[in-house]
Amino acid sequence: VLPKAPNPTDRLERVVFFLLLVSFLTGVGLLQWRRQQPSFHLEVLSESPTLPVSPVVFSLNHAAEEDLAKLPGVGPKLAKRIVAYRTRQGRFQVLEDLLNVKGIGPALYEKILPYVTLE
Amino acid sequence: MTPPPVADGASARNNLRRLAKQPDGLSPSATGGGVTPLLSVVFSFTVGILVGIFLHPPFWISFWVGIVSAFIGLPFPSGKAATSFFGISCFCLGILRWEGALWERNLLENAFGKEKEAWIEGVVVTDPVPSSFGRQTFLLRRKASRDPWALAPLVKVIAPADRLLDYGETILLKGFFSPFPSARNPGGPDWRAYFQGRSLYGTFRVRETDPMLRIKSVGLLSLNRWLLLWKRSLVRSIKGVLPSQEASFLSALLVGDRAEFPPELWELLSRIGVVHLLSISGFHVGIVVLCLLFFLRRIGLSKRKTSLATLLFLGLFVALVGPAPPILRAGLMAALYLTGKILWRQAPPFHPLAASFAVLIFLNPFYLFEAGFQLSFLSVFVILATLSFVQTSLRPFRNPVRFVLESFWVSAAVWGGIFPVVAWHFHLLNPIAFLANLCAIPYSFLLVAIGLVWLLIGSWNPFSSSALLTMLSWTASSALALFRAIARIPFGSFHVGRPSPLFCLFYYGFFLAWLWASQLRLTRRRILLGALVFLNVWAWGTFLCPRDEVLRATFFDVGHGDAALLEFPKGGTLLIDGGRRDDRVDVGREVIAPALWMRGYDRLDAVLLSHADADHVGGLPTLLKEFHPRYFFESGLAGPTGLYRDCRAALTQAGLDATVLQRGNRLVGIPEVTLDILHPPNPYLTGTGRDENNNGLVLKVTYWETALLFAADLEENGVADLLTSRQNLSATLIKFPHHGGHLDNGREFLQAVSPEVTVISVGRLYSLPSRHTFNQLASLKIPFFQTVEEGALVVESDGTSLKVKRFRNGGESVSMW
Repeated sequence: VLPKAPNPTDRLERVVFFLLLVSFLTGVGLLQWRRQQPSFHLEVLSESPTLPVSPVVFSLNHAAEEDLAKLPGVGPKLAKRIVAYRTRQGRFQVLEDLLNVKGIGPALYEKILPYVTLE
Repeated sequence: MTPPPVADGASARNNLRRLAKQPDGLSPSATGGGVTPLLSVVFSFTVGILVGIFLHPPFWISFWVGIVSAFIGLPFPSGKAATSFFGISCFCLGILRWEGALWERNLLENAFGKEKEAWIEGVVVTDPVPSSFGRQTFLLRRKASRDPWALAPLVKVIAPADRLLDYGETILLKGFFSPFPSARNPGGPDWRAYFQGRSLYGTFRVRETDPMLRIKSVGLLSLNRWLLLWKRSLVRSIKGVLPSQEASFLSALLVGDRAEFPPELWELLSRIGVVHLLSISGFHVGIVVLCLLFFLRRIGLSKRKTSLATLLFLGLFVALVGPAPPILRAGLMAALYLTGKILWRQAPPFHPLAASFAVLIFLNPFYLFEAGFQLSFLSVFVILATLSFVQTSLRPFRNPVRFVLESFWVSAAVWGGIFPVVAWHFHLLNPIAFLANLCAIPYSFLLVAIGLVWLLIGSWNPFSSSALLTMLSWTASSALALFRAIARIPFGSFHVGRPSPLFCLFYYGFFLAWLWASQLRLTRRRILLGALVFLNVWAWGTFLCPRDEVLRATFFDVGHGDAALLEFPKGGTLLIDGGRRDDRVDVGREVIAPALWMRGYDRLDAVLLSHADADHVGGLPTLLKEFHPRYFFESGLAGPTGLYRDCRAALTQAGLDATVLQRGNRLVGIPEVTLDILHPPNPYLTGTGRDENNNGLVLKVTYWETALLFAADLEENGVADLLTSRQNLSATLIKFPHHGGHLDNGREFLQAVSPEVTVISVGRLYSLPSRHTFNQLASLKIPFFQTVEEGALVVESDGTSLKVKRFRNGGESVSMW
């Protein structure tokens, strides 16, 4: 069998196909990028200063497991471990005890600190 | 499914046989030429229905043209002339059928249109399901008579369960009839159209005091009853042995029992696109037929006897799982295929598909709008059309590899064929579906096959029954584990807006051209090139085209409650309140989320909660989780409700802080639009009776010369405070405070605002809106719209005037100034 002679139209078609594909993917990528962009940044202008809201706070020693799972960065698994630590140790003496729970590092600790108390 | 066998060298003794020689059985010439009368009949009938839907040609013209062309066609024995004349008359028949369907619907709507008290006599045709609240639900087939009821024989009955009814009983009852609601919100389900496809026209509610009399009890020898008892015992033995999720999955898969199906499993399966396995459909019927054909051939029956026996069993199977449209459709298709096998030995693959399609849309043209109908016919069509192509191009491969590649390409082609329809109906783009189906179909094949053995043999004997059930349970658990793993693959599925009709048209045009490339004398690559040019125009056109600059406010119809979406002229969204949530409905999930998806949003920019009452905060926990807003505003007067707590927990989980807004605040940053907060004052009003309502967040949205005022749930004290606050209250549109509730100072308030139009977001609960409000609006000659009457209201402002579109009443726009 002889090797096929390269057909110029065939090659052109391949090149055009490739270029169109790249341009289409770029277009779709741009559309997706624009969708992800925030449409505006809001700023509150006020005569009176806005009041901060106290966040919903969960007690490390009393909250139920499913409530703890709602903390930022804490899923059901970690909540289970926190409760396990609580039952094992009796209670959390200080907030830093959280660092003893396996899976909670300093970064996560900082993140959940505003939402937890001891009581 | 394996391909139906194709004839290889039979001499062309009749048209059907000649067609069988073509590998795909359907070619563009076949639809117009004289080769395949059946296909051309179906084609022209379908085109006729479509023309009827979109163009409404005059009745008499199509009637006479149809009759005349049928008569002209009669003397021609065969050939092109006969086919084209019969084609024209079928085309006219299609138009007439659609007219007839519309006439039937009008008749029914006049008969059923209003809610009313009525007597009805009929037969219980489904197994009554006891529900919570001590009720039972079943379908009743009305006894035929001459009035329009006879056209829609089925109604759903909800009755007290102090005496459970039996399947097959004839009863006479009195109740309160209400028709099914049509779509009330953008992206919302159209229950009326959905149930119309099932010949169901409404609900009868029977109260405790209403009479319900038994006319005739059940015959002991009824086959249906026997089948039903068998099905009940099967479901009971599945649910008794297996863990709950597996049991629900299996009883849906095997006998189509979807009562108490866990919603989270449903959501998982629909996300990865395998939910079609749960509604018994063509797929199941196909498996059952294939298993039986294989088994009966193995035990040495002849081809015809095999087909005959399978046909008989098919009838039994359809009776067992119940005559829902998808089952009827698939059963019809399989039955036609088998009959073809019995009569001609070689039935061409496209014929049963075309014939069942024609029969079904003749019976009920409204099927054409149904998602399940579209999806099942489209996927079978794509499978049949691509199979031969895939098989020829994969010829060089050896069998195990070849089989895998074949399934891979067919699955991919099916996904490619149906994704615009999925995006249209479910606002979902799930490329993962083709992978999921690739795994799911062998699994369910296995499950249905084992299940079939269990149904036929195993369930009679406790020992074999438990052994087979254990096998089923293992297979089901591993299938579910696999589905969960697939669902975790990133970018597997995401929500997209509804595609434009133009996109769908072009897409399917190219798809068909690709399938029939050889008939069109084009190479497949050139067609792909054309498609790519089109896709480029679409993508870059969407990206570069300036968007129409309007401020759009959508007041959702959420029953009792409030929810409105603002879409800003340069892009960006703000949701004001989220409707209610109770044990029956979560407005966030069922109304607002689909509407947002349909418009192509998978994120919200900002959410504003006017106050923490359940009818305003209810839908928000779900929406905060699904749409991750970047800003959350509230009045700061925390409600004690559990829903508010859920909402705050969702915020905490999203790492988002709430910002409290008060009178005098202004939100800037949205191009050309300013948001002013007119209420609540600092300090809050106290001792007003209902402080949450009177301290609601009142927002005024100004876009050039138009302004929209969202007046939350203010009552007299709040309105009085607003009136004395010396702020500019004037607005073009006002959302009336507190769902149109009674306001002593309503007249002064309306005069201060001087709106050109009023919106009342209300669901007729707690005697809202009050008659007093209507009088005030009438005396000031202010036009008003209520969501309970009009469905969702869409208000568009171009900066100088407002346009109000009423969703429920045809969406026609009412132009304001």
